[in-house]
Amino acid sequence: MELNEEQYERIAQALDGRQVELTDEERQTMACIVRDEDWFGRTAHAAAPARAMGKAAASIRVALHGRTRIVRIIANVSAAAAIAAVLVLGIMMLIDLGRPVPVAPGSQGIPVAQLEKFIQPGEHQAPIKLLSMDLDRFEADVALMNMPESQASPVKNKLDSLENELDDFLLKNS
Amino acid sequence: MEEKPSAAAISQAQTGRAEGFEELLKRYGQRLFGYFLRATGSYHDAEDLLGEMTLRLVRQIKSYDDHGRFEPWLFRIAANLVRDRIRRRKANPTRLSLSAEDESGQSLADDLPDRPSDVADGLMAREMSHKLQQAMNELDETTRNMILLRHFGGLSFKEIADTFDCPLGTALAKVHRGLTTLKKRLEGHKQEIIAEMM
Repeated sequence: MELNEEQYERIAQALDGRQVELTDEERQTMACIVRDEDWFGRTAHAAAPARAMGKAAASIRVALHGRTRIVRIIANVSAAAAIAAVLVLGIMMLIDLGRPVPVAPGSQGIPVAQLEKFIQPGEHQAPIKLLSMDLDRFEADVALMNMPESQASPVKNKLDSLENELDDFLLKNS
Repeated sequence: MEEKPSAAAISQAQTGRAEGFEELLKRYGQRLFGYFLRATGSYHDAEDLLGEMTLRLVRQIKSYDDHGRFEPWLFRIAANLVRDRIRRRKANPTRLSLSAEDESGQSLADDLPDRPSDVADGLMAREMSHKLQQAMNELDETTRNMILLRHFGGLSFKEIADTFDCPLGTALAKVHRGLTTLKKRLEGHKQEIIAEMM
């Protein structure tokens, strides 16, 4: 007997466990399908040999081990990259500390006294003081360049005297 | 066939624990092997695909949504593996091992349980298994896969229809006609085998 699409659909719903009203013809077909499925199940049975199951179990262990290893490698690489980044940053900061920072026109310079608060007195105190003086002078030069002529001469005088003091200091410590 | 998958095994597997995967393999390994064997007709391919399946399972288990049924999800992966294997085989045709021994010295018939107490029945079963495989290979790929996913994967007809993107009635009609064809072919072979054994 040949059923139409709708009839097959109702039978499929019934086979899937839904409550469906079936005609006698549909019920017969459903019973036939159930019998055929049972027959197929008995005929198509194929047991997996122990070797195949053993190989599959081994694949699981290999796959899991591989994943753990990959995760560990990624973690190690990430950690190494982070350490390298910190090192590079540190080196860059050290380089930057040793370089005089240009001061924007009009901004306040760091007075020597304030610098000395942060720097422990010791054997490098003299060169640091010199460096600070140098910075002050550089800042003053920049400020002078932006200053009207009338205000500039007292500052220039002050700078000249500072320069003299610096020369004296260098002579004493040479 | 309607055994419930262990939620604990699935969640263990999802956290990458070997016990979870081993439990899933214990529960579904036989059915997956049967599916691969009947879908490819090759013992060697079935063994190989079962190994590949476990690798896929390890990779994809996290994508399994707990709300859906596990079996359709699992057997869809298996069906994709079979489809890829068949495509590759079509691109590089090699011999099939239906009754002849393959590279590992196994044949399709070798997997059947030995029943030395009844040699005639054993021979009949082996021969029928071989003939079934031949008959299955003559079915179109969709029908064959529907029948196999229904039997080994325990898929409902609704799930089969969704998997093959076809109406529910069409899915059942294909399975019904496919099973009828197989049964007719095998009944004919059975008479021949009985006559040969007499």
